[in-house]
Amino acid sequence: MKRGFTLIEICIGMLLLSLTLLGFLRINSFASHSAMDAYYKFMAQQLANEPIEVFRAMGYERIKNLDKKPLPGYPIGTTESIQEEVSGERYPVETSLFSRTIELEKVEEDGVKGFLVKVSVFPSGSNKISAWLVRQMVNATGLVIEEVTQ
Amino acid sequence: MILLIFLCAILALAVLTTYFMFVTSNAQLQTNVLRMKSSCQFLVENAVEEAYSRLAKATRRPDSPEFKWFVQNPSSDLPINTPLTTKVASQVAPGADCSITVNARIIEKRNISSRGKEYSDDLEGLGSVELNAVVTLESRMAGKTVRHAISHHDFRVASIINKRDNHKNRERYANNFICDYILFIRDGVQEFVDSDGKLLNRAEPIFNLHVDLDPWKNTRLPIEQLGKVFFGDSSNDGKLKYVFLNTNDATFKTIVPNLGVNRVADKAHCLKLFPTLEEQADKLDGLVGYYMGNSLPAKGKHLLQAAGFTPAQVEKLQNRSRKLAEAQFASELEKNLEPGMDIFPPGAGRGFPLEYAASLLEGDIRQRFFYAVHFFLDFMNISDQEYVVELNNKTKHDLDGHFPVVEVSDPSAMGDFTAFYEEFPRLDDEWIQAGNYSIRGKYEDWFSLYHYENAMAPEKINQKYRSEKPDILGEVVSPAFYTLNHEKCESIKNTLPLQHFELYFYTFNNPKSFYSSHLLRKEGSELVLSLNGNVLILGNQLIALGGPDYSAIRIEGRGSIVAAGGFKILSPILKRADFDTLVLFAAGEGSSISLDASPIEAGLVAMNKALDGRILNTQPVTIKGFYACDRVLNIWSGSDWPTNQQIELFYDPAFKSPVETLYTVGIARTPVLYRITGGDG
Repeated sequence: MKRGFTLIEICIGMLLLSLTLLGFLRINSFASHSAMDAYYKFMAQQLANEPIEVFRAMGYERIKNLDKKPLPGYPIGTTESIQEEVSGERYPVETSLFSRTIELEKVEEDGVKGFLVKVSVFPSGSNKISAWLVRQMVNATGLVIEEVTQ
Repeated sequence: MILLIFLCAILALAVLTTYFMFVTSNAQLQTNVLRMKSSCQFLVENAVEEAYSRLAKATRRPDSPEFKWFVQNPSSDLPINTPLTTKVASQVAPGADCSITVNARIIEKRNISSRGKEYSDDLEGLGSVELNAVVTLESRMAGKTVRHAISHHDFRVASIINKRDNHKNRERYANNFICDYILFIRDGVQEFVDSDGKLLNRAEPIFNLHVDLDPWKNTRLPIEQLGKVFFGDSSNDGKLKYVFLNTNDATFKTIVPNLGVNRVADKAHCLKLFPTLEEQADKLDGLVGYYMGNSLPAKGKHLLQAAGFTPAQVEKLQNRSRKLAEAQFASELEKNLEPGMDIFPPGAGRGFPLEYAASLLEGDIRQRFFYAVHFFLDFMNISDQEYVVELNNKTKHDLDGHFPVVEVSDPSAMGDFTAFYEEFPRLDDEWIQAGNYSIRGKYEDWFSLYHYENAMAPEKINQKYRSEKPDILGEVVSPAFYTLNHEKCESIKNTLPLQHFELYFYTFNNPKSFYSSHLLRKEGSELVLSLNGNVLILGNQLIALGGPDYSAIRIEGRGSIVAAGGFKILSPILKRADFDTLVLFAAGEGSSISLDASPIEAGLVAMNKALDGRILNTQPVTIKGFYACDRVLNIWSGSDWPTNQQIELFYDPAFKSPVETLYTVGIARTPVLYRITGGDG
């Protein structure tokens, strides 16, 4: 005759199993969170880098005149939700859940001038991105240096 | 068995969970690494951009180490600081240790153009410079990231002022030879002839030259930094042609030699001249005659008055001088007796040293002046004063009794003086044969401060004067001009400045692109023209600079603008710094530079192959730079030069460098090669 498990043994086993599974679940949840955080952080980083790259491509002289001729999609000094489509260019769907602030600061060292472009990207209010992101804001800083034409 | 399966499931779950954990942690890490790499990339791009901007700015200053490094073409690298990039690195990559280095290296430099022409100087040339930036970021979270950026840019080193010792000739073509001159009229000899001399000899001169006066400091310019004067002859027919300047009160003492003919004639000599006196020869013991020669200005007054002549006497003398000139020079051209343009005005407290004047006049310019010799008898030592009264009545009392004068050219003086006129030439010939200067009054036009030895302006100078005054003549400088192949020109027609197009020019396809270019900007009420080298504007349109919206055109940097269609200057042109220079060159046939504003602090050149380039001014204008054209007016007729449109012309010493050639360095902004590479530590 086989001897079965006693109730106590089963309870202890289930407790151990539960604890193990809970641990796994916890780890899994943390990993999932981490994965989603990395994903959205990466997306936010790209959104933060984007204006810097655009401004660098446009050059110092154009940036100087941004107050007179603003660039659609890249407002200076205000926070705006990122549009999924700007001037025919489409962003990934979830980018509309982010907001972005772009600031320009004039800098000069030893006679060479430039603009410091500071970009902050963060979730637009409470949404799934804000739930996943560990740090709620991603910052990027870039420099646009004046062109000297001979 | 079930338990085993269960345990295996638990184990598998543990492995998967751990792996998932590892993967997601890795994703986090990768995000950080990507962010670090992205920052590193930004920084290395910024470093190269800043290095370029810093280099381009520094090379605009001739005294900067960067400028000297480019010109001297060393083999060593040039480290470039990038403080702006370093400053923002902490914000771009917070928490990371950052290291930024940028070096410039000249990859190659050549001083022969693509057309096979040698540039005028070994240091001139085209080349490529490499900017090599390395940025290293290191953080605990993302490890070490390194990015290299390499950017190659074309550059050129062009001479903007070729060194010129005023006492020596150039030996090859120089792009900017025209900057040597304060006044350069390429077809000036022919224009002088066409204008009956009015180009240079007018009651109201066209040019008021201030050769040796610093136009800003109002002090004497250093001798070695003076501008030259040139009147060219484009005909190349081998004939002797000169331009003549009539001397005037202000200049003649400075320019014209003091011939100083003073000869004492004894009693016997006097009796030969006046044989009627021989009847009472015994009463004439003590009789002395004097020949007194003087160089006089063509139309001056105050020098004669200073010598004791009354205004009426001056007028008489000048009328005689005019008659003398008319008798001596039959052509209409030579009748022009107005005082000439002052090349070396003495000014208040200034006297121009002639030894330098000789090296400044490269055109064939001769001074014309009235050489008057007066003969008078001195009766002071004759004891019988009653007879002196009689003698005075016998001899001609000219000039209202100032002193008795006998003039050979005056027919009215004949009569009792017939013998004088017969004997005088013979005595004069003897006098000349004995090696002395003539005692016959006349207009002299031989006096030149230099001589020539080439086909464009053959040598002709009074040998006697040269032997007497070798110190004044000094070393002879002949005008020498060259073709682009560095061959000596036989005719001034065959040379023009700024011919190295492939090396020197920043080219605009049309005026519109020039107007909207980085060279022009508005600053307050001024239009700033920022130059670094030479600019060519294609097309035949007129280039208008300035206007009612601008109080001035402000010049920054050194260079020239060449336009075939010419220029219209609507606002004053002012320099920002002493060493700034602007040359405007109207290069097309029929083109001109029209000046509607004053002052103009620039060099002006209107020359072309058709020899009709001109500089026009609608009002009196002050030019602080230089003035170079083919002709002042194309056709001289009637009123010739408009009244009240004088040109005050000062030479800007920034256009003359006696010791070293001055260059500009230009680095192309667009790279010919751009590469970013990287690695992780």
